Amino acid sequence: MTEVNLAVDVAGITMDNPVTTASGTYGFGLDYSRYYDVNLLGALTLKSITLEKREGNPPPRIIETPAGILNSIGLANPGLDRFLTEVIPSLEAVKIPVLASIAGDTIGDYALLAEKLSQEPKIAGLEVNISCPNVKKGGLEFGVDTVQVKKLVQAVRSSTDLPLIIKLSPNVTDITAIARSAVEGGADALALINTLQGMKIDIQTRKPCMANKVAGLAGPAVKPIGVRMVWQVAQAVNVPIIGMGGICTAEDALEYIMAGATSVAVGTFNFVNPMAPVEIIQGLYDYCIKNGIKDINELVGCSFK
Amino acid sequence: MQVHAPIIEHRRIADDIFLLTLSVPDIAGSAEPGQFIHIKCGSSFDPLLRRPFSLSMIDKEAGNISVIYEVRGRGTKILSTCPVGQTLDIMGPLGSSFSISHISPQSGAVLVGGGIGAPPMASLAQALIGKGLKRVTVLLGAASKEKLLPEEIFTRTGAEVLIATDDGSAGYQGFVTELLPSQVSGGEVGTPVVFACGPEGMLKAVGSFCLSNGIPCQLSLESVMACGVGACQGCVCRVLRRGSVEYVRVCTEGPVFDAGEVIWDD
Ligand SMILES: Cc1cc2nc3c(=O)[nH]c(=O)nc-3n(C[C@H](O)[C@H](O)[C@H](O)COP(=O)(O)OP(=O)(O)OC[C@H]3O[C@@H](n4cnc5c(N)ncnc54)[C@H](O)[C@@H]3O)c2cc1C
Ligand SMILES: Cc1cc2nc3c(=O)[nH]c(=O)nc-3n(C[C@H](O)[C@H](O)[C@H](O)COP(=O)(O)O)c2cc1C
Repeated sequence: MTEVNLAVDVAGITMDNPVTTASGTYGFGLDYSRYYDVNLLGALTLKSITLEKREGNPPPRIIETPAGILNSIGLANPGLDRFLTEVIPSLEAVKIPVLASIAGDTIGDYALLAEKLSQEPKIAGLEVNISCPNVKKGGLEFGVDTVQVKKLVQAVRSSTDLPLIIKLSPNVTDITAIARSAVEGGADALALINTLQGMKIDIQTRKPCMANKVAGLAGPAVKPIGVRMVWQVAQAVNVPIIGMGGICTAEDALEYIMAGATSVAVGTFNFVNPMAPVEIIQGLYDYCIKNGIKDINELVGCSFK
Repeated sequence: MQVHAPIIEHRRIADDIFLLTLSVPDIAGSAEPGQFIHIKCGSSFDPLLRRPFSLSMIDKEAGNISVIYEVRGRGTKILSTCPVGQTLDIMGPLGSSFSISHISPQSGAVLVGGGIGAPPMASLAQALIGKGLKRVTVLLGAASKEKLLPEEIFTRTGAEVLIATDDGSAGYQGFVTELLPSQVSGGEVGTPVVFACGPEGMLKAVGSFCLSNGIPCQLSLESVMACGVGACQGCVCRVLRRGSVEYVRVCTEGPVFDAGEVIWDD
């Protein structure tokens, strides 16, 4: 691959190409290593971790919907300690930037996670999953309230020098207001979208199918919403964006890039086509060659420029 | 691995039940009984996810694998229309296999297959007989004669087959589990081992019978799956490990589990 520059910079993290993995759809980075070398990706984003181990929600955790899936995993993860002692050492062969994703019940949880992970050289940046219930605020998501978002980001900011990527919830009235609060709080970059709240009802039992009742919708069905939100946020703030939501092909990734995303993440579609991330990288390259684009960065946000 | 495998045989073998054989030497070469493949049914986004199916036959010499499936919903409906010659996008072999290396040729093995859980018992029977076991019995259960898998799928491995149907239209009338006690008591062979795959109620019954009689037993579980490789945490079941109950992934820690470690939700 000569002639075309696919490398991008997200908040000081240099990626050889714009493609990363969406948190929670790629485990801790090694589940797909039988399919291709993870080092082909631009960066690796890991499953969200919490301070303590979480068992996650009772099954069913996944329900298929038209061109999408509802998930209710419940942040099942081994917790910070095992992340540091087991996951990090297992990533020795990973040479690309690794982004850890953090989640918590309180602002203090997030700050502590950020502080502990800052001492870990393997971590190139922190993605902060703010689509979590705020225990102190009656379980309302952190990510839906501008005041809480700013407080949370400020607290994390003062606990780490790592590049800080705030992952936004799409379950809000005005995503640009939340994006601005995150940037005011000290975000170096934004990632969007997380899953959209959805529900499935079992017409036999006449009750919601999932134990948690409300679940998160993702997959091809949500792509137009993600593209629209990236397009709005890219015009509202001046930080790089990692775009995601239903990306399956290079064409989808290009839409996100043109909407204003510097980097793109593949989520649900990994489950369908494990080769999707590498096929997307190739497709981006082919598009640039075909269209005489010398640098993929030229395309970022071109839809509104 | 992910491959595009040509269909070399595809036919209806019982009511809404099909046998599908693929030529895929790389998977056949490494697959073990109990493992599954993840098939993309159709090329559209609806249905989006792959569908998991246990390997029912593994022919390492010819490089073929077979699955036997029942048409249940959209994915299997689409699959049933794929003609011989077409290629299917599959991932595999995935998951854990039945653990048989420690089983002595003197043991008797009883394989309980209920409904559309029965197919993997064919490859397992073949492997056990290949190991030198003299007495391998398949207890084959189905709702009715129409849903019963053809006996020769199992008898041609050298296994003995006993049939039970819920309505008595073939073999013993009743649940296949009712045949189990007479098969594992007494007899000339050493300690029997039991393997089972089928509906949850059947697995519970087989598991608890074996546990209370001190008979080693392995169960193959089902769950709705997304990735099939362990990445999404979607397909979990509860097991007892190192003294604590935890969720583990059916696709990677399973689908085969020791009966003693499975915790059933009531
Ligand atoms: C490890 C494993 C091995 C399997 N092996 C076989 C096999 O050898 N032969 C076979 O016929 N089937 C097997 N199954 C079940 C098979 O995967 C499902 O029947 C199939 O996914 C249904 O797809 P569908 O699109 O036709 O049905 P859908 O439209 O998805 O669903 C139709 C109905 O089937 C139910 N269903 C869907 N998925 C499952 C599931 N995983 N388990 C139980 N019920 C389900 C749904 O609740 C619904 O009621 C296996 C499943 C697992 C997890
Ligand atoms: C099974 C599953 C688990 C997920 N887990 C997380 C998670 O732990 N943390 C997080 O920030 N996002 C999580 N997500 C959201 C994805 O990272 C992504 O934002 C969303 O799925 C949209 O992308 P997609 O449509 O390509 O899947 C999860 C999504 C799925 C489908």
